[in-house]
Order: sequence, then C-alpha cells, then structure tokens
Amino acid sequence: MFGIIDNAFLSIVAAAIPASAVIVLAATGAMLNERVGVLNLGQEGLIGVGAVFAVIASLQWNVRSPWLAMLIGMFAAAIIGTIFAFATVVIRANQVLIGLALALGGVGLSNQLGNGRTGSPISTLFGKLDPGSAFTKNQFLEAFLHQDPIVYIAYIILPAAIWFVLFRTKHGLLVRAVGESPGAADAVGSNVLGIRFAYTVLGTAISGAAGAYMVLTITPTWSSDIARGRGWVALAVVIFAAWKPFRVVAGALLFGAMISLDTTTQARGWKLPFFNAVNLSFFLSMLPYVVTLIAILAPAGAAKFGRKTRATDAPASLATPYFREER
Amino acid sequence: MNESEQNDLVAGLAQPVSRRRALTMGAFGVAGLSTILAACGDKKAAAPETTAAAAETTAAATETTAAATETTAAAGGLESAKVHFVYVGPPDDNGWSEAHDLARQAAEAKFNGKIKSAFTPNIGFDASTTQLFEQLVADGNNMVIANTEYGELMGTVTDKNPDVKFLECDGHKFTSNLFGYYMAHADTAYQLGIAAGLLAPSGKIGYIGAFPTATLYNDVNGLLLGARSVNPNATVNVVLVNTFFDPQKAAQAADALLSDGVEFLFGVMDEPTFLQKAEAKGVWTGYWNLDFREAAPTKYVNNFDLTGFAPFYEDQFSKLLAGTWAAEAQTVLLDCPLGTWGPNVPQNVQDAVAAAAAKLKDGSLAVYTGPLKDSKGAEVVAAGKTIDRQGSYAVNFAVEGVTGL
Repeated sequence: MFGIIDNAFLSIVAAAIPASAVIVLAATGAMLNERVGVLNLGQEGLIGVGAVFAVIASLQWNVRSPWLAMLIGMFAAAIIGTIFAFATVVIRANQVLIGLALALGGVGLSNQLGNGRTGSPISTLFGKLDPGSAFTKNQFLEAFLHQDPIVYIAYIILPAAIWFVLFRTKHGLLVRAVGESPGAADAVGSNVLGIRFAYTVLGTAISGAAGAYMVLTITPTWSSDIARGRGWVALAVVIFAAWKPFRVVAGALLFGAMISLDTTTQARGWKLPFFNAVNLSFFLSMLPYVVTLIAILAPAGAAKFGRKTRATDAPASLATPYFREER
Repeated sequence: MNESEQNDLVAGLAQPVSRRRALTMGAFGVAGLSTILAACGDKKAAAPETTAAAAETTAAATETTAAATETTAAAGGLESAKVHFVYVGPPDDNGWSEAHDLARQAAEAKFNGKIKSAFTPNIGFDASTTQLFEQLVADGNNMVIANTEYGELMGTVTDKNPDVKFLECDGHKFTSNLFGYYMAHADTAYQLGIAAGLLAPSGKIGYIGAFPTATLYNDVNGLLLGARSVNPNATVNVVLVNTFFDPQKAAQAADALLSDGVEFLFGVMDEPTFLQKAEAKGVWTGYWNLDFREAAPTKYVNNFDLTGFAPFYEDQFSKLLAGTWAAEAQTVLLDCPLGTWGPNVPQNVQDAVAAAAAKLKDGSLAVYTGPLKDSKGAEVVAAGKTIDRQGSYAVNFAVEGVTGL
C-alpha cells in the first residue's frame, strides 16, 4: 500500500502524471499523423471511440484483461482512422473538414454506443505497479514509481521508439520527407501514399489508446462526451511541442499539472492574493487553457521578436494532399 | 461497341420504366414512406417522448390557441392531462435527472393512463431552452416541470401562458402559474456529518462541489456542523470543479483530497468516480442522488434519499386533474431522509444518527443553531437563534471549519 503524500508538489506530480497520459497519447497520435503531412483534427472523436470500445469490451464482451480491452479500443479507433486515411490520403479530400467531421462524428458515435452504459463500473483496470515498500517510503520515488504500466509506455517507451524511428533510421528519414516534401520522397522511390496511409492509421490507433486508457484507469466508467476537450488540447500540445516526441510529453504534463494544481490548491486550502476561495476555483479552472494558449503563442512570439527560431516547426506539407501530377 | 449500339442499349435500359411512370412510382413511394413514418411517430408519442421534435415547431405553433382554449374550457377538472419534464441531464445519469425520472415514472403509474408524461433530456442554458418551453406549451402540455432552475429562460414563457402550470426545481420565481420546490437537505447533510464525524477519527471530511450555491453551502455546513457535534476537530475541505459532470476532473479532485488525508469523501457529482477512488484508498464515502453502493462496496456509508419527489409529483398531478392546482407562495421543501446504510457502518453510528434525526424532526434540534461564525470569522447566527428550513434554503455562507469557500 502507499501512504499519504504530504509534500504538495509531489502530490500534484503524482496526480498529474496519469491525468496527462491521456493527452500524451492523443498528442503522440496526432503528431504521427502530422509528421506525414496529415492534419487530423478528429482527436476528440478518436478518444471517444477508443474509450467506448474499451468500455464495451470490458462490460459486454467480458474481456478480463485491460491490455486486451485497450487493444480493442485502439483497433476500433484504427478502423475509423482507416476511413479517415482513405478520405484524406487516397481521395485527397480537405483534411480540415474531414478532421472536423471525425471529431463531431466520433463523439456522436461514441455517445450513441455508450448510451445506457453510463456509470456502470469497469472492473478490468490497469493496476498500479508496486515498486516495493523500500521505494514507497520515499514520497519522491512513490510519486514517480507508483503508477500504472501505461504511464511508462506513454511517457518513455513510446516517445523513445518514435524518436528512434523518426530521427535515427532511414525509414524515419523517408517518413519525415513525406511530411516535408512528398515530391522529393516520391522522387527517391518511397511510397508516399502508402507511408501516409500507414502512419495515419497508426496515429489514430494511438489516439484511440488515449480514450481506452481514460476508462481503464482514471475514470473507470463510461460517460458521454468523455474527452471533454482533451482532444483539442492534444492538438495544441503538438504545436507547442514542435512535433518532437519528448516535447509532447513535457507539454502534456504541463497541462495535466495545471489541472492538478487547481484541485490540490483547493483541497489544501491554499490562498492566493486577489482571490477569494470561490473566485480562485474559477480562475484555476481556466488556468490549464490559458497556459496552453501561452505555450502556443510563445514560440511564435519569440520568432517575431528577433530570436533566431522558426515561427513554426510544422512539417512543410502539413494538411496538403499529395498529387504526383502536380509536383 | 459503336455509337448506335450504345444508344440502343441506353434506350433499352430506359424502356421498362418511362419517365412519367418513374415519377408516379416515386410519388407512391413517398406517400408509402410517409405513412410508415407517421405510424412510427404515433408509436413514439405513446411511449415517453425522449426528444421534442424541433422540426415540428411551426406546425405545432398553429395549434397553440386550440390547446390553450381547451385548457380553459376544462378549468374545473381534467379527464386526462399531459405533463412534460425537462431535465438538465440524461435520464440515466446516475444522479439528479435519474432521480427525477424515477419519480416521474412512479407518479405517472398511479393514474391509470390519465396522466401522460414525457421528458426532454440534456437541456442546457441558452436561447434554445426558451424555444423548447414555448414548444412544450404549443404541444398542449398542461403542466411543465423543470428539474433545475432555468430562471428567466423559462420565466418569459410562464408569464405568457398563464393556463399552463409550471414547476421549477430550485426555482426562485413565484407567479400564479409557477413555483419552486426543492429538497430540505441541510438536515440530511447534518445526519451524514454525524456519521462522518464518528467514522473519521481525524474529523477530516472532503467535499467535491460544483458551483457556490445554497445547495453547496447547506451540504458543507450540514456535514461540518453534524460532524462537529460528535467530533470538535472536524473540518470540511471543499474542492469546486465547476461542473456536475466531468469524471476526469472529479477523479483529480478526489485524488487531491485523498492525498491530503480526508477520511470521509462526499460530493455532488452526477457520476461515481470519486466513490471508486475512495474505495480504492479505503476511505469512507457517500453519494448524493441515489444509492450507489456498487461503486464502493465496502466503504459505502449512505446517500440522500430523493424518493420524496415521487409523492410530490403525484400530489401535483392529482391537483391538476381535480382542477384545484394553485401555485405555492414559497419554495416547497420536501423531506429528504438518509437512505440505507452501507454494509460496514457500525451500529453505534447508525443509532447516533437516528437519535439526531428524531430530534431534527420534532424540532428540538436545528442544523443552524447559534452562535455560529462563517468561514471569514463574522457572526452569522447569534447565540440562542436558529435558522428554520426556509431560512436555510437561502443560506449563502460557509460556517467556520469549512475551507475552500
């Protein structure tokens, strides 16, 4: 078992880590899409679909393993993602419109499928790793080590794997080329549409994992509109992170920490100047979104006012369909 | 295939169905389809309508006058009546709206089909809300019941339609055809507070709230004063999440309170995430709207019992049918006892609460008994004074010992 974390900072961290993992996964999925030049605004819908199928797997199909339930959620999101990829990569429809349709349609679909399952508790949950009492005696180690396994996959293993593939392999070079200059990638013989299609579907599966993780750990029950805007925050985090895997983790953690700061400040009765307790709660509810906004504006502002950075590190062909005839 | 052959083929394909015939068939098809649709529509009307068909607005609007005259004609009493409920959430929300919907069904069942009730779920607070109320009037409803306070979004419609009866849960507007009703839950919270004070040795109570309203103040004050009556060190830590429904945020609020060491966790959420969190940490917990012990099988303490809405609605329906309905002049506050105890709540705790409940009922004990200070240190109830039920419904302070408000 674990004790009470007295240290306020560590209690914020301990709560922020799992809460942010949802955004880490969704933003990683979105980043993979965008790396190959496909803008996928449908994160909100993919989280919903991933979540509802994990719920259905657990409650209705009697899946007893959280891993399998998560895979089912990812698979469902990937099926939706295949339709999205077909529309955006093969048919080359407008990515913004298809993405918005996916966001709205995915939320609607998941609410429809989840109808009547609201509030039924899910028992197939990811347990927290028990690092042993030697570690949990130390609050600092407990905050970081007493988490569920998906946290370590989302925060370390997945970004490391993506970083290695994208920046240390020839295949990764081609993948990045497909997002930056598909014409050039095509000229050296890589299959532009194939890579786009594959990474779009892969990214949507990871976004689906975000939703499945949500219901298999944090809020072990279905509730409609489950993403509650976290999909949109994930898209902002990708921009903040300049399309780099580990910066995605940092950006998502910042957002999650702001939510934890809100609840912890109130739970511990901390006071801030200029605010009474009630106003403070409203202010703190707003804070995660304000911080997200600042985080997006800051790099652009730095570029504008003389810092030698690019205003945006977006893949050059982001949201641009590839027509071989027009290269 | 040369060009003439191609033309022949096209002509051949077109031959079996000439253009005129196609049109005729299409017309029959449309007619048939609409008959089927109409039949479905009838079926739907017989069962509880879940959504008001917005598309029918214009058609229904023409019926407004007809419906209104009908109501006036039958002012002495009604053969049957249409009642419509407007819910702020879904009817299966495991919370407030579900409690109302269960009461609606229970009350309707008592009238052998004389009362036809339906509901519209998920109604928020915007201009379309007013439109909905207007449409409900146009649909010929005799009574409209809203399960939350819509204020002037509803008030403008009630003023224009004096023949339709309106009830507004937690409403603060009183006219000839509109009044508010609510649960007297400060007493309930006080009883739960006694249990919490006895179950939590440190007296630390956590509360996850939504908005700073009288409901919230009565919850936390009741909990604190009840707990202090048995445990002078008791405190209530409030975390406001500014929503009744965001499971992830509620989960984080629960984590924050639990990691701060609360030993009893309560809240006004419409979903049971915080119960599951409390159970996982071995902390006592309870629920607002319904019995939700399955979310915390071993640490469940109790819940507010909202079944009092059913007899209230039944009473309103029978007055409506008898033609004796009149709007109340002040908020009707319904009795709200505690529900069934959780399986592991010790008998001495249950006895202590039962003793206090009896005293609250016979009036020898009041939740707000002076001297009381608010959380900022100002005296709000003088020594020897008490606040009665109507007074506590309007409470807008948190008593000393509550943090976060």
